[in-house]
Amino acid sequence: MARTIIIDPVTRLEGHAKITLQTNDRGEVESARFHVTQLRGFEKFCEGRPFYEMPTLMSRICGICPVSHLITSAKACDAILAVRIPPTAAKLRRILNLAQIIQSHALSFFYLSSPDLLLGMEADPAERNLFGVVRANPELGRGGVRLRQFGQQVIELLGEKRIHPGWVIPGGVSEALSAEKRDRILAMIPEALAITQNTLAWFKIRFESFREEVRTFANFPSLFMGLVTGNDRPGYYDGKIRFTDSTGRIVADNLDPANYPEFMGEEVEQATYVKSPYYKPMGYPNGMYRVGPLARLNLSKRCGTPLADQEWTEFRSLERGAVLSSFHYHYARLIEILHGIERIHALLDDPEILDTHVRASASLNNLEGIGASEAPRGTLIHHYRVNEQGLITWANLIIATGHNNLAMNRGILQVARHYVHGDKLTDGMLNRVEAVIRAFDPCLSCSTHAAGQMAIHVRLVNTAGELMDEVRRS
Amino acid sequence: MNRHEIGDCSADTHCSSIVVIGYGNPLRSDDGIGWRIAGVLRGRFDSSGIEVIQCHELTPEMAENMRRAALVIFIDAATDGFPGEVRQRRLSGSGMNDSSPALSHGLTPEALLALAAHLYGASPDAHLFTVCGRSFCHGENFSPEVARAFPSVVAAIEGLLVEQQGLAFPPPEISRIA
Repeated sequence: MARTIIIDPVTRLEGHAKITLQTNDRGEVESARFHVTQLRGFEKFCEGRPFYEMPTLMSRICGICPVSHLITSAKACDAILAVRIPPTAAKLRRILNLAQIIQSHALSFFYLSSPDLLLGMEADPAERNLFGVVRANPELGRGGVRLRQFGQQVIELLGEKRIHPGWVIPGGVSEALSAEKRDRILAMIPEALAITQNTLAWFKIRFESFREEVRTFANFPSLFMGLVTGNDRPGYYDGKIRFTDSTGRIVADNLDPANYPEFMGEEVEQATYVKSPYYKPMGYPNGMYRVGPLARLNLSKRCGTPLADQEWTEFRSLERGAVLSSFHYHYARLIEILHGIERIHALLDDPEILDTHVRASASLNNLEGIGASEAPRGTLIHHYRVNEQGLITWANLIIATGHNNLAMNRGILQVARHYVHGDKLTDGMLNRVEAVIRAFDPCLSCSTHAAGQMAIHVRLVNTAGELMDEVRRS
Repeated sequence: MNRHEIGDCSADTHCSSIVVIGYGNPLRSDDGIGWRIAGVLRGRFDSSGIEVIQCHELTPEMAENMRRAALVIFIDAATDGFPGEVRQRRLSGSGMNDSSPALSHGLTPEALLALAAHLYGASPDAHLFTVCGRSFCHGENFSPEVARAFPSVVAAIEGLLVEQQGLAFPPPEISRIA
């Protein structure tokens, strides 16, 4: 008998979501849907506000990646001002963005996913959390806490606050970096590097125990999309958009993010508040693509720093073309942390980083502005229109999690078909359905409340609405 | 999170022997009581070697702030009791049991202490001060009951520090905390 399985809420994610699985008469999963059940609404309630308020306002979207919204919004405002920001301001923004990526990746890897990776997908749910990790492997737990703290401290030293710093402003940044703060960041780098290298070494052994998950976790051909610099490195702060396919072939390159409406469509679906962007020339839904750490390492030809380049080479040797398994988002995240630390070090070693000219001034020069950067989870685009008084008349945000929406849905279907069978639901089965989503690390609510503390309630009902099975996780 | 460090600690080393953490949402009326009290204490503890943290919620990274602490004071709003009621409770972080939170952003003080104990062997004396709120609506003003309780919490925390650590503080400037 055909059934509907609902996983609501999905745990250990940033935000609120549920998953619906539909089975047929043979107990096989026929369809899967990932629903984001909350509305952000920022595009509407920012209308009427002065454009220069947007960076601070937009950073409030999220408590995990506020810096990403802050920077991307400021870049859109730079475009409205038509200014070229001072080189040192751009470098300081780069450091801030990398610190954001490091702390967010550390949260995803150590706090959200390491319980599965260390303890196993079938482990007791009461143990499958950070506390379980700390009990089983205190060194891993300490490393995770310290690495996230490193990223947060860099953000705090630059922007005065760990969450919602207002330091990035249209035209640059509000304050130059002092030598004392630079030295404090530099002093933290050796420890952060060592933790990351140790964790990478641990993970490369550990993921051998997850061959089945590697094979089935959103492992399929797709496009990949992200910002790439002129020398084929991931463009975390800026760059041109590149699309590649599953063989690694470049499908489109040097696309200006400001022209995104020409090559990026956004499909609206009734069942979720997240839009589904797609590559326009291939149409919906065939133009499905993936963004984020896995995509960035697939799109580039190196990272651009010594240690990360070694890891990139090893990573890309996993497959002949692009690395297709979304399980390897975890692996890619660690490599990006490594690269971020190295790159911050290099930027801080540049004497120009202490230059005090960090802000360009201008007034309203354009009535439209688009900013793009790489957030931890992928390419982030802010697009604003203003009137002659500089008040926002329209805004569109394309967030990284949205880019991955089509791929996440397909990934859930793949995992569910492999692991979910028959009338009975097991915790390990459901955890894998959730874990494939965790691999993408979606940031759904863009808020920090209550994630992971919610109960999971799964109901298996038949087409007549009769309850066949039920699982509660408190 | 806003942090204020004094002493010989470098940016990466939190070595304060006393840590005060006021947490809550200052944009949610009475929920901001912990945050606001921490702000006042920060000014009064200036150059006394006390680390004061203002934050929205307790996160695992704060375990590191406690690694060498002898005393940790948490300040939070509460929903149980009568509005303006102040409570002080000594906390224990011994053992992480099945009630450990699944994760990750919003820890309880007990869970954070347990994490610090497990990760760093830290076992500071810990106290939780709560003020029962009346209003948790959008806003930056306290209800009258919570506003009245504000100075008494500051005084109680200072009293604890005087009693346990032998610290001395100037008389409070009521205008700063009303």
